[in-house]
Amino acid sequence: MGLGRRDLLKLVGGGAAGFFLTPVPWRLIDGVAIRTESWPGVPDPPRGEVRTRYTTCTLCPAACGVRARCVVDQPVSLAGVASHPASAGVLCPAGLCGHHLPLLPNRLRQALARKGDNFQPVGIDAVAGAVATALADMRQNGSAERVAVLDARPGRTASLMYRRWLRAAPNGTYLLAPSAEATAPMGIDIARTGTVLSFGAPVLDGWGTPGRVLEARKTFRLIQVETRQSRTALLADGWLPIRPGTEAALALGIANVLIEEKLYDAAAARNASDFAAYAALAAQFPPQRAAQLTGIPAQTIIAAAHDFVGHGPAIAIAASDPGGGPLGEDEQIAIAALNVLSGSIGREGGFLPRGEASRPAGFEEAALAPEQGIAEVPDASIRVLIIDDARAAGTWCWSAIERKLAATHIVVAMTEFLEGAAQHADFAVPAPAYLEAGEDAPAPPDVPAAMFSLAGALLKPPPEAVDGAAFLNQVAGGGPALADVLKQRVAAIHASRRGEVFHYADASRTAVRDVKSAADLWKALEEGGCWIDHQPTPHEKPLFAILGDAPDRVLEAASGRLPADAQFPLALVPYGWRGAAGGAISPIMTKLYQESDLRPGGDTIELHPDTARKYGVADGHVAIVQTRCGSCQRRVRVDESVMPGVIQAEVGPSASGNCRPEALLNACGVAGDGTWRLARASLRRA
Amino acid sequence: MAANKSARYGMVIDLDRCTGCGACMVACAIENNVPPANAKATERTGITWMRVHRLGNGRPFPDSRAVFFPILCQQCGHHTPCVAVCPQNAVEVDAATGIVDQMPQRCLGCRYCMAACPYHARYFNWWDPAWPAGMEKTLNPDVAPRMRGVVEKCNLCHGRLHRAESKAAAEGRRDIAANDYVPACVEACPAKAITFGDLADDQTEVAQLARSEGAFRLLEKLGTESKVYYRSERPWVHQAVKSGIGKEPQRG
Repeated sequence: MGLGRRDLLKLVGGGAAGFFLTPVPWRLIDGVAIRTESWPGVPDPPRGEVRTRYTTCTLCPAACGVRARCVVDQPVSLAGVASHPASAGVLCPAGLCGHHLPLLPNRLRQALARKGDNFQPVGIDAVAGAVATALADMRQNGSAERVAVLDARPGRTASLMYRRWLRAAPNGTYLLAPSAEATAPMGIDIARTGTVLSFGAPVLDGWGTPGRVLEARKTFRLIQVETRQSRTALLADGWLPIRPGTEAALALGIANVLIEEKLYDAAAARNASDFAAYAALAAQFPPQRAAQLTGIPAQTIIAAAHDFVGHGPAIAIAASDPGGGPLGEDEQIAIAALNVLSGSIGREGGFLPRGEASRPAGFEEAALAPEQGIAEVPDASIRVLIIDDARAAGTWCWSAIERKLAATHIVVAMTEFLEGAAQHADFAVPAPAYLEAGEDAPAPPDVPAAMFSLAGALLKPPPEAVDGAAFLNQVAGGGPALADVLKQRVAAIHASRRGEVFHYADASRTAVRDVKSAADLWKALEEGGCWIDHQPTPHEKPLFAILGDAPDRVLEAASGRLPADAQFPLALVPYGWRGAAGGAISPIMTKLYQESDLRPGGDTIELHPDTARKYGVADGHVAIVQTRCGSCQRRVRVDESVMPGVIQAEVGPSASGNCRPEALLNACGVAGDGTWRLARASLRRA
Repeated sequence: MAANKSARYGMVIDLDRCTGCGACMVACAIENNVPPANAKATERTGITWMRVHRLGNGRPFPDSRAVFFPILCQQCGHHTPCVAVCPQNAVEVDAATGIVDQMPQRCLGCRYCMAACPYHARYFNWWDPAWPAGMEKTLNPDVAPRMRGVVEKCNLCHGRLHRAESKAAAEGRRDIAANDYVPACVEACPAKAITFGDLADDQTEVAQLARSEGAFRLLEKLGTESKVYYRSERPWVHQAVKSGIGKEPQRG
């Protein structure tokens, strides 16, 4: 039998086909796959001793306890501290990936000086020298101009040091950041609150101390007054979708119902010296008028008023959105006055005066420059401005600050990244990043009890990084280091023998009077702990004025913040989320706005379908939002939950990375009262 | 809780509590070494083992309402679709825990499992896993990053399960303590919307919640016996789920 060409081909073909029926090719694929597992494209996780360390989060004023899982000294994950007296084991998304911040590639590692539109490296000595020269010049000429520190995170021990330094400086002015949460004069006894009437406060999305608030959510009723269907509005027991800028009108409308129907706390009202004037003001806003202004039906306003006082203790809160700029002072007065009617001031379940950890000698209030808001400072009056933690300043409208600067000025930004307000500075000085700075965290803004935690450094800062206090010492030619003042403060707390220490590691508590020495207290706090004062702060009920000196301004605010404008018929409402609205964030946060639809992203606007149709735009189009102060270009997202006639614009990170929040915030423009949370706008397709 | 007594690990997610903050997504990515988004990544090509969707009631302003709906691998316990289609045996159901496990070493990237998964809970690595320079040192040492070209998905934080098992072994126990094994998303949820545990143990909170009124599973009609339950007291949520999950508020 001969072997022909055809047979040979059959043999080869059959052999090839048969080969694939054997396990060999599959084993080969498997083997190749295993080999490629460790190819250079896949990074190797670190190896080493795994241990747990503790600190306190300083990314926002909530001061949550942090448990860090470290490989050798490097944190690889962060989590909340269970049973923490304020944060209750919770960290927000930004806090969970906070350990990435010191390692971000755009980290500022050396001082920079502005040269035209760019920055050039410079020594920190040169920056301190420039500031010292300006101060000497001001002293010599008896200049009326100011030297100011703008503190993005007030309430820290470093803040006390700034204020003392400014007391000695020529016209030293200590400025609070716009919408600084930490400076709230009263805390909230939210665990015992019956009803929360929130005017735009993101109660369930990063307001106050999230762990504490969410824990208490099981017991309080929540009525959310907000134009936008925010996360809080979605989860509230009632949502009042209000026309933008008419919150004060609604507050007075509710007050009108309470006063007319005598549902208010008469005893509490007697403490208000101008209650009659307030009642007369509220009388101008019967539910029908309030309905006309706010777009909320009169019956709903009446029902909300009944709801508000029906499940006491009831509090009314007003807070600015993390991306939307501060609420106007007059609107805040109108809203806060509801607390007089509900009798929640100085009452359990209501507002209680905030306590404060003992201060070391030399830091009494009289020795410090007073706290001031930016709006209180005259325009063109600041010669030297030092911005502390400029990273947190990404959601400030720069024009609100710029107008306060003198013709000749120096702006120094202490910052980890060349972002936010630092981009406008003349000098950028590298500061220690989160987890690198050994500092303190003041009491969270909504906690009435005095608290104090140390945010112990888990990582070493870059050699060039200096904290704000050290920089001011360099300018002044000497002064105590922050670490020394912190130790003095801990010693003062120990000397007070008040309160107790909560230990993060085992959730145990030790009374301060049982701590042997100030050094032991320091050690306990540094290893992970917080001091909390359980002695209630005595709350007097002094006579006070509800409207202060501003009844006319409150009336004006209640008449509507956004007057009709034929050229700009739409209302632009910027909003953001705490921890990510401005400044650098971990790249892992892309999970929330790029790799999923959870957050719209800072390059979008959201419109109601009717609004979109009217202006000829559709989902995915790029549109130009124009206001009297500027414009910005954004991708359109059509959403039926948006109020018709409103443009919702997120202030935050974006997938494209090329849409900075600044353009939007500047387009909003700064109103006379220093706010920029709303603007009239028009829209067209790009 | 016993890892070796045929446990059925699962969870109940309370949709009425979920605030849509995204802490679960972030914690999951950090725990499991899921890389940040590639510059070209989108909602379709990104990797989120846990993804929170917004489910609307389909009504216009001001009657529109929505809940946040976290979707992860539903840990199917019966006729697990991804197991059935994988040519490489790269997916298996662990009999001891009920966890559907993905083995990237075996995966050849055919993506049959992605096509078969009725919950769209599997993700393909379109790019090499990359972190900004220097950030590799923040990776979790207990979890190997996956290579480009393989599929991955939630495994209920297997690294944490192994740690709990190691701890139990070191302490001379055969059973792991309930507190020792908690997936990252459960631990991170600030609203305590996720309850995790052994569904096979009737005494656990998760088993009781799974049987409670208002609890449901996705695509129950498929009979996959998934181990992720949801709860809501809002009738429209149940209605929306019956009529097709993933229906977002009308756009365009």
